[in-house]
Amino acid sequence: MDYLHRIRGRFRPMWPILLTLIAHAPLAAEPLPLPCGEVVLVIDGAIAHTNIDGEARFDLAMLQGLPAHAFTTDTPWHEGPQRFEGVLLSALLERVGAASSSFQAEAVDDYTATFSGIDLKRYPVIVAYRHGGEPMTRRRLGPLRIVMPFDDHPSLRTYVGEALSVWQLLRMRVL
Amino acid sequence: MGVRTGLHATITVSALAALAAVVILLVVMVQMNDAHDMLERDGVLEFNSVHQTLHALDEFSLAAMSLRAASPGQHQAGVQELLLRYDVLYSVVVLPPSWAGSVLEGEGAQPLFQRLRTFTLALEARMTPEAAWTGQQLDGLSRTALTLSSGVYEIGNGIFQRKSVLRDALARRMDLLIGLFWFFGALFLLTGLSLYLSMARALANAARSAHEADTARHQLESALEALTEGDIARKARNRFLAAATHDLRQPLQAMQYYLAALVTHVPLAEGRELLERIGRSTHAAQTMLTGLLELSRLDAGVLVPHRSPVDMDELLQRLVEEFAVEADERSLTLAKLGHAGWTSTDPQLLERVLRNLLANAFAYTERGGVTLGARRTERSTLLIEVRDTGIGIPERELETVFNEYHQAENALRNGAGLGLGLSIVRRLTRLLGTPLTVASEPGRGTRFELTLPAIPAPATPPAALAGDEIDPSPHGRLVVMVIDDNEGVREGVAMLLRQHGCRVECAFDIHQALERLVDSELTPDLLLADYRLPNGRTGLEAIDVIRDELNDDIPALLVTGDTTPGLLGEARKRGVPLLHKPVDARELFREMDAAMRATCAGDASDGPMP
Repeated sequence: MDYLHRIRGRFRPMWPILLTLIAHAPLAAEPLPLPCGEVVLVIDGAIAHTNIDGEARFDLAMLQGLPAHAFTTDTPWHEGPQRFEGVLLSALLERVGAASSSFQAEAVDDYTATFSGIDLKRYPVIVAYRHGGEPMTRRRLGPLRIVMPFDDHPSLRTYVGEALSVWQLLRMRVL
Repeated sequence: MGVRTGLHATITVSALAALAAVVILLVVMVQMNDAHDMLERDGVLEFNSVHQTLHALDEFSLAAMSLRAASPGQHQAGVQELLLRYDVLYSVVVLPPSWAGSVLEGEGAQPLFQRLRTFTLALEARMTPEAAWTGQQLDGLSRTALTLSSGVYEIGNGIFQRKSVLRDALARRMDLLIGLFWFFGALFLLTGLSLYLSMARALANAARSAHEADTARHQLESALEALTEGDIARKARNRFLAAATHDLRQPLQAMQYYLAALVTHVPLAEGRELLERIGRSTHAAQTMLTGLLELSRLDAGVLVPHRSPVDMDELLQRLVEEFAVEADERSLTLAKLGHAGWTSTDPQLLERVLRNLLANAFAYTERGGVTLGARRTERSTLLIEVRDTGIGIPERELETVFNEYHQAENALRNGAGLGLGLSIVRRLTRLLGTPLTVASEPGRGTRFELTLPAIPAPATPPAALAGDEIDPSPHGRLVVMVIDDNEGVREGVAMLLRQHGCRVECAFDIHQALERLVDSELTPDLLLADYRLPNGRTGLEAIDVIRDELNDDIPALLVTGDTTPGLLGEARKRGVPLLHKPVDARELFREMDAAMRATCAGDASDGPMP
């Protein structure tokens, strides 16, 4: 019963609509390059490297330039095993100089989840940009989606693991 | 007994409580498992799917209404928001049904979700940035989305209501179970504590008992030590008594012989009565000495009972007659009650027991009387009781009355003797294996009871004991040599023997005995020797010397006033009959006869002598 409360907390909707408009700020002397295409992910919070307005903004090409990882796994949201490819969450956090591996994930559909307690060195969790070899549209839970290697690491297959598998990922706020 | 029952009850309750607690704990665990399974199976999935579907629909509806109300400047952003919300709705709607868990099993869920799917997929083609929307169309979209949303809400509500009802029921059951668990757990703890306390108490008791046992053992040990010391003291006393009785016996023995001899010389009745009285006094003194002697002999363990069928009625009758005189003199009643029949025991020893008991009864009875009772029980047992109406025995003295020299504090002194009677009785009954019990009521009287085996009367009664009358004829012409250093005794015996037709040679030691043999040129038919002779010689040595000198195994009798137990054993070993002073005339002649007969039998078997 108490368990449900905790889960409900994770599903607490965030009613204010997130602005997706991209502000064009002058270039800062940051090692993180500026995004050239459409920004698909914004990382802010306790990070060292930013590119625009104290945030780290990524287009798909920037993400694809980071160390990639791919695996096939069964998930509760698809029929049969699916292949996912994307950037390693640990590599992404390292790229922005994150102070910790805990962050609050926000999705297009206002879903939020606090990502913590998962050892990213041990579990190759990815921010997937390809599903079944194809880029993901929003209608197919894209364009970015946190995916856990459930099949390789069955211990991740918990409600917490599933709740942290945020789809339509939009923003990460490093804690 | 009550304590043990209480302990058992406590243990039982404790065990049952523990069992109940364990069972309830198991049930609770199973229930929790069930609840966990139930929640795991559908709770999160259903909440997730319902919530996200609802949210997607609401946001889509909101976006449509926003676009409807948007000014031309806001139109582009409104369209983008509508497309975004449509994409989210689409992504949720096309997810596989398994994602929704048991939501689709809800009442009316299948058609509703089918409508939702149809509605969403139908819009797919139109949801492009270029599409133009009329206000009416947007109103329709918004309304339909809200309708679907409230439908999903109803279904979700139903599901979660049902779930909460289930959960409440489960919670109530769990509450009850947990309550019971606590109750039995507490009961178990309480009974366990009570058990622990009672065990601790039992342990403390055991420790105390052990301590008490230890103390008792120490007391026993010291008592045993005291007893051993007492034993040493008694041995010393026995030695003194042996010496004392020896010295006392000499004059008494002489007196007995002289009296027996005197009777024939007193013609007048008055004189005979006086003699009778002297005889009684002598007899009393003799009784005391006999008591001491008996104790000594019993302690030495040389007395072996010879069992034979005994006519108890005859024995009791004889005792009654014997004590009738005393009863008469003291105006006490004496009666024999009941029929005793026959028993198997040593008649002489039993007679001594009964005589002692009777003497004791008379000693402590001033008025009333003494009853000698007999009855047979069903279990072929014969009970003989000696009952008096005397002063009785206080309860604390019931055991000690059997000790030597014990006397009631206010004992009547007439003929009470040395208080040896009951201790002799105790030793004799033990020797005979005859249980003896005593019951007494101070001031009312005392009852001693003997338990004997009852046997049927034998077909031919055993030969009657030697007649009371001394038959002097067999002793005539006998040559008897008497060796005794005490002149009184020596002359007394000699006189007695001469009266019965014997020819007597006297000697006071071995040397004189040999002289007399040579002088008289006679061969004695019988030797009668005192044990203690001058110069540390013994009667046994005298007998050996004379037998050697004459080269003949002359029958011999040893007479002694000595009660040293070792002597009895020695005489017995040598096959020489031993007589204790004071020797009754009758006993003397009986032993003489026996000794003569034994030798004749020996001669007969050896063949005629040359």
